[in-house]
Amino acid sequence: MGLRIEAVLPERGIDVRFDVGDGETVALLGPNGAGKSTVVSLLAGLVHADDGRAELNGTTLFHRTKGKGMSLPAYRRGTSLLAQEALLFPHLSAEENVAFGPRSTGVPRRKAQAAARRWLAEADAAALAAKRPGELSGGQAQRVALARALAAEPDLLLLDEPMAALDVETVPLMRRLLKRVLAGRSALIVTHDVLDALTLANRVLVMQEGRIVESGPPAEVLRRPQNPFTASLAGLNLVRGNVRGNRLLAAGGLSFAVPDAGAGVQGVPLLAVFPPSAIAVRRPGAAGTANPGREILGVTVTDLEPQGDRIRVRGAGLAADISPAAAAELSLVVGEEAEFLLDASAVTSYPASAVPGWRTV
Amino acid sequence: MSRSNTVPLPRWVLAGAAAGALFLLLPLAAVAAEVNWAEFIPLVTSESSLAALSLSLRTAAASTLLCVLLGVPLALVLARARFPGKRLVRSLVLLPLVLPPVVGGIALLYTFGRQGLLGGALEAMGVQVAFSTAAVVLAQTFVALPFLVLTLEGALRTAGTRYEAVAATLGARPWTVLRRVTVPLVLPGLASGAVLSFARCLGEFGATLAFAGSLQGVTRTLPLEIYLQREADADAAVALSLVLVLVAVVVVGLSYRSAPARSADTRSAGGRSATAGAAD
Amino acid sequence: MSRCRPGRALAALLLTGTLGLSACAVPAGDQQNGTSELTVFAAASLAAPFTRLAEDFEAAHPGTTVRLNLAGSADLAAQILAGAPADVFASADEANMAKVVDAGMAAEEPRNIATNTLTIAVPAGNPAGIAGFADLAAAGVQVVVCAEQVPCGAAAEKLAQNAGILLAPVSEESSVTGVMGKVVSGEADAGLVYVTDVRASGGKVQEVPFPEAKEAVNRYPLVRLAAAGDSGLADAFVRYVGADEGRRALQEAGFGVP
Repeated sequence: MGLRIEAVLPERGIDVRFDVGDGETVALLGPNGAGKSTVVSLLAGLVHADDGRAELNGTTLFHRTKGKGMSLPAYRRGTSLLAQEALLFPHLSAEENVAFGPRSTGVPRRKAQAAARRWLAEADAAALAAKRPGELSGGQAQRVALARALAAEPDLLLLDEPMAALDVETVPLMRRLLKRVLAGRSALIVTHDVLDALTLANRVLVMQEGRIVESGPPAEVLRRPQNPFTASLAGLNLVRGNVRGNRLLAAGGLSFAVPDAGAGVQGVPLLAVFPPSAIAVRRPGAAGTANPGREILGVTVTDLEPQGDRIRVRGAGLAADISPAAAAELSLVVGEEAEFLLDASAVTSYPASAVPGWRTV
Repeated sequence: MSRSNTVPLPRWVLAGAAAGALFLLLPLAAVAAEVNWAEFIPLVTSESSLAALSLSLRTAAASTLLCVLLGVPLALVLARARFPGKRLVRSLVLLPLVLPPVVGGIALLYTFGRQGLLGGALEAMGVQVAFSTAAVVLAQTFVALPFLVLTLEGALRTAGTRYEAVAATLGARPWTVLRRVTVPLVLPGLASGAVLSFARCLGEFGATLAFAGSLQGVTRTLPLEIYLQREADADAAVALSLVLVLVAVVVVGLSYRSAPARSADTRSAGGRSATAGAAD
Repeated sequence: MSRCRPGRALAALLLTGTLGLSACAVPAGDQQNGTSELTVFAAASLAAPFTRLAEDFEAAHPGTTVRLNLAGSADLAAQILAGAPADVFASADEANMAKVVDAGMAAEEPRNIATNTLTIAVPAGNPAGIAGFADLAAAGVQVVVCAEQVPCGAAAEKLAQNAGILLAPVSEESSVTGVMGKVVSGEADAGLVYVTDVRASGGKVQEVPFPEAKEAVNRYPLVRLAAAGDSGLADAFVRYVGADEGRRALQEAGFGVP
């Protein structure tokens, strides 16, 4: 049971296959333009695939070949959608908004009202029942919208960046609320916040250029990212290269020792990750030799930016975090040469793999 | 949504605006100045004047209803449906806007008239449109329909389809979406479209004259009465003109009072849409 | 002397369309560059003969341009009273001419140049089988006439009274062209129009003449206006219309001539 989808939509560059288990919350991560919202629209029935099929709890949502075939209309799919904007119907009160789903499926008025109040309470919005959407703050409106989506009792709840438009202060509250209501519920949540993935999802799908490129439990995907987007989410430097001896040779002449060089599969590229804090920076040819266990990488500084209480130095596609004091002492300038000293013991390596959207069967 | 304009408009714009306003208002003032006030009440309450005013109000109301019945589906199809030749259909629907009304009347004559396209069929059904009040309603509807369609289509486009999509994912069938979401959202647009249509119906002259004829209490609406009175009694024509201007001012004023308040409400309901970042 | 009072011109503009506006812009007679212009306000039913007469008059008086303003007689009288620049006025009835004369705007006693009588126009094939005036009162016959307020309607009313029949028209049009339109399209079974209208329709309607028609004769008075820019030229035109050329043109159009 649960959701299983395979869909191709060349017009938007979409080619995905993945599933969502019964009661499982799956986070769909990816950079802007990866096609995440299109996937949501495909499931909600707002956009139609050229090829592919999808089944939700045994019901076929669509089954199409070359732009033809069946596609269940949105109102018969059981896939409620909560987008980044609440989109509460402006002419209805909060309670009438929440009762909209039940009323649309033929529930009598009184029962629908009762259900609406129950779901409003569930979404910590009971006190807002009589308010008009125009009177609600962004966070309040989004809680009412969540109650409305839940009141339709969907087989699959679709959340398309539900917190992206909220004020920074209201996000933690909403996240806690989502964690509570998503427990045990089949849901797909589109986000680019890694914290959402970690706190809300049982599994993470990473999407890039219309395809699912990574899949797995959040902790695992973040520990062993397969592509730069995931690595940046995890806050890690990612280097891809080939093994020569016990060293990794990457494009651009970058080379350093890796711990598990032997674990690499013949002919498959190896990936190495390490945190920006594992790199120290010095001026080229500075006096003294590096500590043993530190690799010296010559780079050109491409960017300098504050990162919390550290200064992030970028060069050769790598990020190094150093203290402001150290940065002041070095007085680095973009475009100048520098040496990155990499702590080899902080490096993890593993083979690159093509991970589909399916769970391990 | 109060918006203060920090950059002042160039002076010549203000001058042009004043000239434009004057151009529109001066003739109305001239009519008022020309009115024979001593005779005003008897002139506008004569049997023929009252018959014309009453006929105008009744036919305009009926035509507006017809405009809503025909125009709402038309606007929905133009704003929402996708089909080949849609642009052509839209321009044809809007044709009565630019057509001289007399041409519209002639076209109606050759459609619904006794010798017209549908004349035989109508006669067989025992319906005679010619020289009846129904003909006035047809003429008014013909010229006023584009106003409703145009206004409503604009409102539908502004409202967008996002609320409708949400309603559908909540399980609402198309008819429910239309009834409970689309129509309430564009109600201000529908109202002002209906008011514009009503106003156009009130002023309709050429198509009625060409198609319906002119008989007191049956087909002679206020504009036709004015046109006729002008032949014999200029004072009566001027007095009735003023009445028509006043009715039009009231109607248009009502629509502009009610429309902005509701649409501002609709706009803010989008919540934080204006500040939200772009989704992918 | 200003013939163009803004207030009255504005009223004229409102009542009669755009002519009042051009009234101020174009002088009636412009003799500076050797050409002269004559503005003739003529009833719409005179359109065909007057268009021809204007062309002939221009040919006979090189350098002269005749500007014809053709409209309903009441419109024209209202325009003249509102100060529109006209040199000659030809009305389709005596009532509208009287308005102009009473306002002291005529330069002379008007003279009748033509007469017109009513006739019955029926659609091609005469579907209702109209044979005479009395048939117009038959049940089920859709008759269209002019409204009493306009000359053709007043004439129709007079004929009906003389004949002692009660007309129950389905429409009382404000102009004879409105009546013709309803007959030509077959919408009406019969209409009371002028003989000249049937003549001008070029066979689109059939005529059912009736003897009673001569009891109501419409007279067409013509006058030179006091405000004429070139009174000599205006006089010449008035005489031209009354002379053989004018009579012939009017007769060909179906008018009676005195």
